[in-house]
Amino acid sequence: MKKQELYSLIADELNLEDGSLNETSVLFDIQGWDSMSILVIMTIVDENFGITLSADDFTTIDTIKDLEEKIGAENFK
Amino acid sequence: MNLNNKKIIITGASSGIGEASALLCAEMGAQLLLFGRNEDRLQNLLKKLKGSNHEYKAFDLTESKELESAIIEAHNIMGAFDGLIHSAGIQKTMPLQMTNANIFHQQYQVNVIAGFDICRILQKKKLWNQQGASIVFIASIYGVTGVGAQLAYSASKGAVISGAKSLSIELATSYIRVNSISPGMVEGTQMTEGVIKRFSSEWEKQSKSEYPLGWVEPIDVANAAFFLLSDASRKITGTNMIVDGGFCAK
Ligand SMILES: NC(=O)c1ccc[n+]([C@@H]2O[C@H](COP(=O)([O-])OP(=O)(O)OC[C@H]3O[C@@H](n4cnc5c(N)ncnc54)[C@H](OP(=O)(O)O)[C@@H]3O)[C@@H](O)[C@H]2O)c1
Repeated sequence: MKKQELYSLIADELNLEDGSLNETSVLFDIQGWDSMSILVIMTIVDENFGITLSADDFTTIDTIKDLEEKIGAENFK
Repeated sequence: MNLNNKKIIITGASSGIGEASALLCAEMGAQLLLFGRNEDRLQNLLKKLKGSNHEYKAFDLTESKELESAIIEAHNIMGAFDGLIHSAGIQKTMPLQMTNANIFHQQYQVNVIAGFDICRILQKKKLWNQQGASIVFIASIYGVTGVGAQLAYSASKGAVISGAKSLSIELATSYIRVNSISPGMVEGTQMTEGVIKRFSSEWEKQSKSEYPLGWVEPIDVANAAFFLLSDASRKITGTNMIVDGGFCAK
C-alpha cells in the first residue's frame, strides 16, 4: 500500500474529505476524533498490514507520520 | 461424576478452554476426538491426555467438506458419539462503522455455523449414541449482555445461546441434551491475550476489578462443561450456564 492510500482509507473511515490528511496531521485534532477513532485506525492497520496495534501504542502516536513509523517503512510501496 | 466410556468431540481443542476441557474430559474417562487448526498443539495435547485411543484432526472448521469426512472417519474408528463441546471461536473488536457483512460472516462461520453443522452431520448420519448424548456450546456473557465494539461477536454468541435452546427442544426426543456455557473474561487464552494487546494494560486492570470473583480460568469453564456432559445433569437441557465470576450478577 502507498502512504497516500493509507491517508485516503483513514479519511474515508473517519468520514473526512479525501485529501484532508497528510503526514503532519495530528490524530487527536482530527474533526470528530473520539475513543472509537483509535479502534478505526487499529482495524485499518490490522486488516491492511496484519499488524496488531494496542491502545497503549497511541500514547506515542501523535501524527500520521508517527503511525507510519509504527507500521514500518518496509510495509509501504 | 465421570465420563467413563463416553466418546466426545471437542472443537477448539488446540488452545484455551477447548484444551482445558480435553485434559479434564480425558482425566474423567472420556475418549476424545479433537479438532483444531494448529497440528503441533494438538499433537502436544494428545501426549498430555490421560488414556489412549484419542483421535485428532487438524483442519479449518469452515471447510465443511473436510468436517463431514473427519467426523465419519473418526466414527468408523471410535464408534457412536456421546457428546460435543464446541469451543472453537474467533473474536474481532471493531466499531460499528467497520462491521460489514464480511466481518459478521467470518465470526458466524466459526462461532455459530460450524458447531450447528457438526450437530447436523451427527444427526443426519445417525452417529450419536442412540441411548442419548449431550452437546455443549461455549457462548459468552457478551451473548446476554451488551459490550462496545463487538457487535458481530456478541450477535454470534446470542445466536449460539438461542440456537442451542431451539435444538434442545428438537433433539429431546432423541435423548440428546443441548446447553450453552457463557464465560466471562477467561485468563490466559489466545483470545484473551489478543484482546489485552488491543486495549491498554489499564483496561485489563479495570476489567478485572469489575469481576467480583476475578476473571475466570479455562478450568472453570471446563468444569461446567464436564458437568453438562456427565449424567449428573441428565435433566438439564436448553439452559445457558453463566460462568463469569459474578460479572453479570451486578
Ligand atoms: N477468552 C475469553 O475471555 C472468552 C470469554 C467468553 C467466551 N469465550 C469463548 O470460548 C471459546 C474458546 O475461546 P478461548 O478463549 O479458549 O480462545 P483461544 O485460545 O483463541 O481458542 C480458540 C480455539 O478455536 C480454534 N479455531 C478458531 N478458528 C477456527 C477455525 N476456523 N477452524 C478450526 N478451529 C478454529 C482455535 O484453533 P487454532 O488455535 O488451532 O487455530 C483454538 O483452538 C470461544 O468460542 C470464545 O468465543 C472466550
